Formats: sequence, C-alpha cells, structure tokens
Amino acid sequence: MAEATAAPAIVVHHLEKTYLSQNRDGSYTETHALSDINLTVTPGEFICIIGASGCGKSTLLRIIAGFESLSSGEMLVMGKTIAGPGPDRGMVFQDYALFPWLSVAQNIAYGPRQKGLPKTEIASRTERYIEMVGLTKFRNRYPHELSGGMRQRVAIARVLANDSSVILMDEPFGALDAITRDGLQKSLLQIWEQARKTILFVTHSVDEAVSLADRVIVLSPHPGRLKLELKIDLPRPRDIASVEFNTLKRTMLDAIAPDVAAEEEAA
Amino acid sequence: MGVETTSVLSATPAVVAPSEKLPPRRVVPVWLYALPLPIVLLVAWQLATAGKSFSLIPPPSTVVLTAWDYAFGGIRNDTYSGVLLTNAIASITRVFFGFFVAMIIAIPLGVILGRSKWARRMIDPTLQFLRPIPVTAWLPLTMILFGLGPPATIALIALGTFFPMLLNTVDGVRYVEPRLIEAAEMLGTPRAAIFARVIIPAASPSIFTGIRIGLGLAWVLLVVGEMTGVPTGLGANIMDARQLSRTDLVISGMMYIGILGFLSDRIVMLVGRRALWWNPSSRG
Repeated sequence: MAEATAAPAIVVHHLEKTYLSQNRDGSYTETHALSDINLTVTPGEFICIIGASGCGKSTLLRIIAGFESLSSGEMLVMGKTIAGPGPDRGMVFQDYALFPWLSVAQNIAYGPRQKGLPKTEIASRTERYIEMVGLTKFRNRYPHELSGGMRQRVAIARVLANDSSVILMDEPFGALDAITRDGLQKSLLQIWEQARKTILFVTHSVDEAVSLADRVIVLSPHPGRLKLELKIDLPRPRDIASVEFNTLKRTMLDAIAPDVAAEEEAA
Repeated sequence: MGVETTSVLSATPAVVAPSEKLPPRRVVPVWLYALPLPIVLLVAWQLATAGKSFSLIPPPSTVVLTAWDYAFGGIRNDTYSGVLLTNAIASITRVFFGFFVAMIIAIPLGVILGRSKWARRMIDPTLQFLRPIPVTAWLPLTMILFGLGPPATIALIALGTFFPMLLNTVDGVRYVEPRLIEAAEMLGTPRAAIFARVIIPAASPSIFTGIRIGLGLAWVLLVVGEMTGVPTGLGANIMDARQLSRTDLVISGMMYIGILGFLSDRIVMLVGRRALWWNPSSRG
C-alpha cells in the first residue's frame, strides 16, 4: 500500500488554466479550462481522472506532463516545480506515438539512451521491460507490424524503462477494442503491482476507473472543477458484477450525468 | 431414450490441413502480364508503317536495326554507329550532376523552410512565383549565364528537379506528427537533439519521395537540357536526328533514355528500401 507518511508524489494547489484564442475578427476569447484544482497524490497511488468532455482532464494531465503551462497556482512533482516535459513524468498517449523508424527494442531503449546510460544497463533494462509487457518474441519488429494493443504495450514499456516516478496515461486504451482493453487493464495492474509507480490515468469510462483506481477524481466541465473525489478500497482484481463495484459506479455516474445532460442540451 | 445432443463442432474435422488454406500457386509470373500490351502496340505499329515508302514514322523493324547500330555499329557505319556508350555516359553524368546540385540545395533549404514560419513567409511567395516557369523558358538565360555546353545543361536539369525535392522536403519536415516530438521530449531528448533524432527520421520518407520524383524528372528534362549546344549526349543526338529527319534515330534515342531512366529509378528504389525498411509505403 502507498505510504501515507512519505512525501507526496504530486501536489496541485489552486491550479488555474486559461486559454486565449484569437477569433477571425481579431478579438480574443478566453476559455477557462481548469479552475481551482487541488490534488495530492501519494507515491505509488493509482489515480483515475474522469469527467464529461470539456472538463479539462487531458489538459490537467498535459500540464503535469509539462507540455502546457499553468496559468496560476502551484504544482510540484516529487517536491520540484515543473519546467517542461521530462523523463521523471512518463506519458502514455492514446495514439501510442511510437517512433516508426525504430524497432520495439529500440523504442524501449530510446529513453535510457538519451540519458547516456552504459550499454549493458540499456540492454538489461530493455530486456526486462520487453519481457514485462510480454513482447519478447517481437523485439525486432517495427510498430507498423504490431496491433494496437501491442503498440500500447511498447509505449508502456518505453516509459517504464525510463524509470519515471510518475506515469501519466491519457485514455491509453480508448482506441482499442473491449477485449484488448480488458487484457491491457489486467497487464497494467500486474505491472503496477510489481513496479509500484504513481499512476495518473485519464479515462472517460466509469468501469475502467472503478476497476483500476485507488482514488477517482471526478471533474465537471466549463470550467474544469473538482466535483467529487472517491476512494476505492476494494481489493483487486475487482469484480465488475459485485454490489460494491456497482454502488461506486452509481455514485460516479450520478456525479457525471448532469454534466453530460448539459452538454447534450447545449449541442 | 433421451435426446442425444451432439456438439456441432465435433462433426467437423479438428484440424484443417494447412495446404488447403494457401492461395493457389501462381502459374504465370507477374511480369508476363505486362507483355501483351506492348506486343500488340508493336504489331499494330509494324503493320501500319512497314513497306510504305512515304510513311513519316519508320516501322519497328527499322528502329530495332538502328538502335542496334547505335549501340554496336556494323549495320550503317555512319556518324551515329556504335556511339551509344559515349553519349549515354555524357548524359548520365549531366543528369546526376544536375540532380545532385539540386539535391544539396533543395534538401537543406527545405528543412529550413519546413521548420521556420518566418522563413516560409519570406521565401515561399518568390518560390511559388518561379515554380510554374517551364524549364524550356529558362534555356536562353542559362545559356547566357553558363555559356554553351555541359554547365548550362547541368544548371537546367538542376533548376527543373529543384522544386519537387524542395516541396517534398518542406512538407516532410513541416508535418512531422507533433505527438512524436512530445514523446521524444517526454523521454528526455534534449531540445537541441530533437531535430536530428526525431524530425529527420520522421521526414525521411517524404524526402525520399522527393528524391525519387526529382531523379525521374531529371531524365525527362534531359532533352531540353541538352539543347544548349552540347555535341554529345542522348538528348543532343535526338535533336540532331530530328533535323536530319532520322526518325528511327529519334525513337532509338527515346528508348535508351527510357531504359536508363527506368534503371536509375530501380537503383534509387533499392537504396530506399534498405534505408526506409520501416515505412511500408516506401517499398514501391
């Protein structure tokens, strides 16, 4: 279990994010994407972030990753402020973003190579994580030869090989069919139980959130605000048909439902 | 007696022999499919022109003889006998030099334009203005600038092949998936290294396409290029033959240019397949 006394992995304090975009007539529109977000994540915790579209869940993830800046507020990862993207916060994208000119092994070895680690260390890390994601037989294949599920495994291994303390996942299984998704969820939990990384997992699936997370953060849109924080104490693997599972699911759906309805009315 | 339920599955054989699942073996090799059309055209051509003393186009039988003579001599023994090698070498040299000069300017310039919005704003309009000008129109100017002879030819070929290589490079560099750059940053690539480690590999299929198109175009431009008063070369020979009403020589020359163009493209493709093995669409 996550150490309650250890220093938090991520601290977000009154985070605000506003976008300024220019309209055709030259005037500017201000979009308030995130408002007063507060979050503390203990090391080794598995957090899911969920909410209706436009709630800013991906934006929040990207700010933590360092691809976007926050407009105001404070954010610390492992006690340090963020200056930009880096290997301490690995990200798994929905569209995999593997390097097509590198093989599976080379993709996984990429991060360690950027760090300038010795060749033996790179090789051993590559082997370890290829095996962990079950792709040993495919180590010399190229991304275009792999299925979506396999590509996502490579993406996960790539981030693990880089020894990130925090793993950010932006709807990583969203592009995959239900069966592949199921398998990857199981694999992810196995990997997480072995490696004990802090995981921030954005999803739009309530089932996924309740199956995977220690804690679920529900955001509501326009602007993105914290609506609900739910602790999930069920032992894993969780039974999707159990009463406890569905009680939690009900709570979450009820929290999200008005936002979805408002979206549909606005459309 | 109770109802006996038999599993439907047990009625079918458990294993289908692999050989039953393979597609039928090809009896006819693929290239044979390419033969009927040219054969039909050649026969039609022969029938339309053979034996008619006043036909403007010689029959294929004459062309074949001339083509042979052009390469090996021994049939006509005139100025154009056995000179294929010298002329081919002259043309090949000019094509490759012209293509090469264009490449070493177009690709770096393409990279700069691909990466920099203000460079595009400053340079692109002028380029788009120059692009539609046909190579033939550049002929007088290049002859003034470079004099008569091979340098003008090379300059002309370079001019013509420049644009496809430039534009493909710009597009390749400009439209690198931003996700790939984010992934590289996330994995710890230093900013300065992103260009070499991500942008260039990601852009290389486009750049390669530009190179392939450019080289093909170089051969197309050869004839115009060699109108600069060069004494040797396949294009020059074709123009001379036209003046002498030696249509058989014209057609022979066209054929040899076609063959050389085809061969050089195959070589480029072979190199490309090895360098870009990871990109399925570069495999030709």
